[in-house]
Amino acid sequence: MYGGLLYVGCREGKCVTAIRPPDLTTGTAAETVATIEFDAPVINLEILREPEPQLIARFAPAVFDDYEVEQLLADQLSYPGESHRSAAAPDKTKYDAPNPGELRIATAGKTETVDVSSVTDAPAPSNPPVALAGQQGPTSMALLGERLFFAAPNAGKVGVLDVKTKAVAGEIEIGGYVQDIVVDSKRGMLYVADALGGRIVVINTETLAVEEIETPPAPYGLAIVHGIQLQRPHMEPALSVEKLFVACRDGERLLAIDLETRKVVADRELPGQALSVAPVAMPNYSWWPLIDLDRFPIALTGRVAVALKPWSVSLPDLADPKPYGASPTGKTRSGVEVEGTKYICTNDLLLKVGDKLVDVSDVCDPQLANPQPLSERDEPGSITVAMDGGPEFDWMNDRWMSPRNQDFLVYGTDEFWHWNAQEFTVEPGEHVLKIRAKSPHANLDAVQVRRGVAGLDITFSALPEDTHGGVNLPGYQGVFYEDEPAIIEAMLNNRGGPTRKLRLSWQLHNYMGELVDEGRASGTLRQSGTDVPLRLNARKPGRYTLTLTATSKTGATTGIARFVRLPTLEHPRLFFGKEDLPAIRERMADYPALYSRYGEWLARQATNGAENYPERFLPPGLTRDASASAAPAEADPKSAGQKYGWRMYDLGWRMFALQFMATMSDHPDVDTLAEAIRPLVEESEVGGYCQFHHHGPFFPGAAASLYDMATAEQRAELPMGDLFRSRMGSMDVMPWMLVAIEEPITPDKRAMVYKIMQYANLADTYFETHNGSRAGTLWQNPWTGCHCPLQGISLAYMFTGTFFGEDRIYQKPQLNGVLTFNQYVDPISDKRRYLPAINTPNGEPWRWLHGAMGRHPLEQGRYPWKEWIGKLQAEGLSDDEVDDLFALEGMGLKGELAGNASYYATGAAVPIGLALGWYDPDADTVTREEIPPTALFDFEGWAAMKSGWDGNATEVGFISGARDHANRQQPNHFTIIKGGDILIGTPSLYGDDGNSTPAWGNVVAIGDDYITGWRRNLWDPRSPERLIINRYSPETYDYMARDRSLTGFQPAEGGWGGGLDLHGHTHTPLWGRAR
Amino acid sequence: MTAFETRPEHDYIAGDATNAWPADVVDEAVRQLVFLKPDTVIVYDRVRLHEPATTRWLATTAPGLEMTEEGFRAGDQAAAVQATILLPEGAQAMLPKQPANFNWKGQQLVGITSPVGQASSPVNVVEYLVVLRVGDDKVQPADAELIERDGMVGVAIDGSDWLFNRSGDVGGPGLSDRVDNSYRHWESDPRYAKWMTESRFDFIMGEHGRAAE
Repeated sequence: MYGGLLYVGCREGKCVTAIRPPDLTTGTAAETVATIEFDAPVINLEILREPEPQLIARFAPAVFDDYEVEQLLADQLSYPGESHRSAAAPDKTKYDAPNPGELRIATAGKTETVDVSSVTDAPAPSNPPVALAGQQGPTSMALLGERLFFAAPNAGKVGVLDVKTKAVAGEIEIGGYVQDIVVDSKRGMLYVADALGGRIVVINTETLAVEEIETPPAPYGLAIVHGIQLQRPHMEPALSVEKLFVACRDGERLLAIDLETRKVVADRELPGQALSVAPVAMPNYSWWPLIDLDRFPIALTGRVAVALKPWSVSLPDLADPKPYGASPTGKTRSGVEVEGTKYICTNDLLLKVGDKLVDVSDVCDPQLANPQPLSERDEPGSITVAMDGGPEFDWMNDRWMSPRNQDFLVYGTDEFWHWNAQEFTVEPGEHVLKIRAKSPHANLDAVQVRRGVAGLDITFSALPEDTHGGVNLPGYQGVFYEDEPAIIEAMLNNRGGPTRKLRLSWQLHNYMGELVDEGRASGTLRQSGTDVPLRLNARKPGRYTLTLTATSKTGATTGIARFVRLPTLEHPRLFFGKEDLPAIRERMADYPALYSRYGEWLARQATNGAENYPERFLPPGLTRDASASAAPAEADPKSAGQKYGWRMYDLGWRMFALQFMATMSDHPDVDTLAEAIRPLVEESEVGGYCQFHHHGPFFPGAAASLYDMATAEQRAELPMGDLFRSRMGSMDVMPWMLVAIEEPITPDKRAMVYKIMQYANLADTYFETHNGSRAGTLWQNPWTGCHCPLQGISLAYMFTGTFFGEDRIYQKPQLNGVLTFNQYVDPISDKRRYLPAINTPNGEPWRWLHGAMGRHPLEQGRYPWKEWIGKLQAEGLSDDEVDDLFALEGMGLKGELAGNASYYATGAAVPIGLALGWYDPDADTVTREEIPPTALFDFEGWAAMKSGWDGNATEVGFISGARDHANRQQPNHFTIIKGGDILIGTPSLYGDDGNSTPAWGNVVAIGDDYITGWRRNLWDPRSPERLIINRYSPETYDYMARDRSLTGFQPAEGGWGGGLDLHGHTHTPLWGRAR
Repeated sequence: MTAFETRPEHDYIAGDATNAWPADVVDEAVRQLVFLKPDTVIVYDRVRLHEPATTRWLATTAPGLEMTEEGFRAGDQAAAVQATILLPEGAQAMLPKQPANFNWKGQQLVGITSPVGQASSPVNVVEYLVVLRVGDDKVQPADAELIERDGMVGVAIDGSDWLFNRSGDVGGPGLSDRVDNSYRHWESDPRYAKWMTESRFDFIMGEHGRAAE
């Protein structure tokens, strides 16, 4: 606003308009009083009041693709530039020029200055035909080998610094005004922009031969793009670009010059004066950033962006337009201050008012807004729908995360369509629903129509208000602690309909999907809405899902609420609960000899005095470095951290076992055990990790278990408690958080617990979908070398299950399912070792425990522990014999003590598994020979067909189904294996860790271009058509950011996989790849 | 997957990969596979193209790949596969260039190409029918004969005819046109009664394994 006029910058209209606002007191209408047009899209306005009133207009950057140099839409308000004002050498020496005539060199903490004024000193050109800054320089610089080239603009020279002697080694006379320089390091060519002469001077740095390329006036910015790296280089080389881009300010053009021929291959008009040109940063091919799915194809396009010079116009008349020397990036109006209070928009559904965060989701969340009809400028999907000749709507709303409770919406479910189907309110009578195909490939099979309750929106809140009202978390629907009554208030919001009679019915399901309560009621939906409190029978701890259906004469509408009953916050609570202790002691009492010998063995080993592994029993500390310091004397120090300081599962179990026996048993050696583990329990340094990725020095939760099992008195004094509390909210170290939440259960803690519950719900939704009707993957493909499915996902089930008191969590089908799936799709053997890994999921003893807890009968037969336990129960064993048994001497599953093991170094974990009831020696067993040799896994689209289970069997695989980010096969791929020899196989399986590796298909390949997509395997151009779960919707990230600000809850690694941390080096959603 | 059934003697499956290809290129890409236990696999592909395009039937084989009169052979003394190409008629296996940047680990790539608009098929329709027989190094190509009947195409092999629909729904005589995820055809197997009744087998029976229909 200025002088009573509102100035409006129009991006698409490419203009600025001055509007006199309407006068509401006199009824005078708004009036456009002046308009000025520009060639470029206006995206930002700024008013300068001094010395003369001016309006500064800033423009959208001009973006071009790297290959054909065709203009594209800018997808950002600005792009980071590429500074040539400094340079960095591979040895990390940095060069810049803080003052005219000086070069500053910084290396290894030392800084020195080199006087280069002999090159740069010169007056500015007089009466230049183009406006110049008249700088001495050095202004831009470029390194090539042992020479640093720097620009001396006024002097019209390029100076050369010998980086070894740090002395000026020469100068190159260019003439004109040296605005910018870049080097083509591949060819040893130096490119110099002479803004005065309208030319690029090309210097061969070896021969000093010179060429000139004529340009439009004032070549101002240079950028070289050699290639675009989309995949990791060993999988796909960079896409070749090999161009120099030249942005000409006064000429208002962008040139592309072929680096090989040095010919101009593209000359494009710019909508304004160029200030600079720079490549748009590509996503990190080795570690993909968090990007919305719909931005993926944009981000994967190699682009350059030209920043345009702002213009000024006089006020108030919008006259005298001229280029203006200001930054092309303007300030956004994101905050105001009123009477000392700052109001700041955070762009994550929150408004910051002073120090307080106010949730404004009800206003700002596009998912809660009524769907808008399509405009002429919209590009709808395959079909649109319209009612009675009214406006057209897209066929679905593209909502993939419930705005009410942040659960994934799974395509095709009732809840999905609740949020995604278009809703029309019509009077009784005949109506016409028009479906219009927007794609020539759209085939309309059917239309599903449901009758709903017009204008009814059902929301929920937990009661009583005194307890739950202070929870500052959108979507919070209840954390009920201990024996608090579970009361959920259903709010039937009437969005415009008349008063109506309703019948209500509700069902309550527990975390296992079992119906535990249901009820019915009648009521009236008033115009102002109706609130219905529901007192629910949710006494047992764990997560619950409430489904409420309101039925009127016209139809039914359903709302879903999710809440949790949290058991008393006692310790232990991580791997087992305090309430489990009586049963644990009973089990131990059933095996007196075993546990007596176990304690004795632990005491002997822990006090053996050995300094180094393998004789040393416990790590010297709880960090990677501490563990690695005890590596065997002959170990390579360079790899010790990796081999002996990371994923040392057996060490984790030894620590767990000592603390367990010291605090949970009445073993005679309890004091010795406690004394042996005490230094580790009292450690202040604990190695950090990401549970879903790097797992830490031991296994996730190993160190936290020491804290969790400590006596209350001891725990209160443990230094590691401070560390755990300091990481509250971080899902990277989920176990730390879970052992650090203590009474009283404040509103903030209810919010945190609710976020943890939402994580568990996301995992259930995702992996239950994968499981289909029989079994499926737990994140990775079955031949991964990755340990993350067990150490990350499975252990997360363990922790949330114990924390929430869900004692049957491992009976969930998806947890057993991964073992069933992998055993079937694995070849009986792989003689040629074509597959990166078989017998997955990896990592022992969690593989065994995972199957044991689910009572998976096929897994039960894989391990010899029943017999082993029997031996340790036998009478008359000597200490040496006991030691041999615990050392697993002569047993095939034994291996050396080292990290990342899918075998056992000792049997330390086995008595724990038995005591905790995870392992039942007498559980049902099934052998392979007893089960069907063929199985179809319908969701994964994977059929494993075997002639039998014998070593000479023929195995046929067929794969054609849903795809996730670890997809490795094209639809309709088949394999044949005979007697462990892969006869028809798959070539694309690199060491597989969740990243996108090439995907192959023994299929009918069509056309000649298929191989690029298969090899890259980053993105399927048709995947958005058949999404099943979209982990990358914009709202997924919005909700994560909002809730992080409100509660401190941070999904692991920033939010990979929509909060599940299904990390990988690219984005591919879960989609129906084929039919 | 559009069809599946399992029986003691054979398993049958069909997959529709049409939507794995650009919509303006491919109108249909359907594969049907019959596993005649214990050693024979029939693979029938029918592809309808929007416009003429090159197609390649691809398979990654064990080392020892060689072209034969019937098709190709791969493997060694321990195990080998013999492929017999029935469609396209007269087509022969060839060695396409192994695409770089895949980890072949000694495996080799074999291909079968079809000229566009082959004489035996409508324009833009391509069919591949390949019979693969596995065994030890003495394995011989399957004695398979191409048969065409009532709008279907298939193989006569070991005294049985295996016919596939050439258009419309997948399947054919004795082959399901839908996914049947049950073990109902295994009634003659001595293990069947346990599968149906014992909870030990719940993990593999799943929701549909014990279905009667």
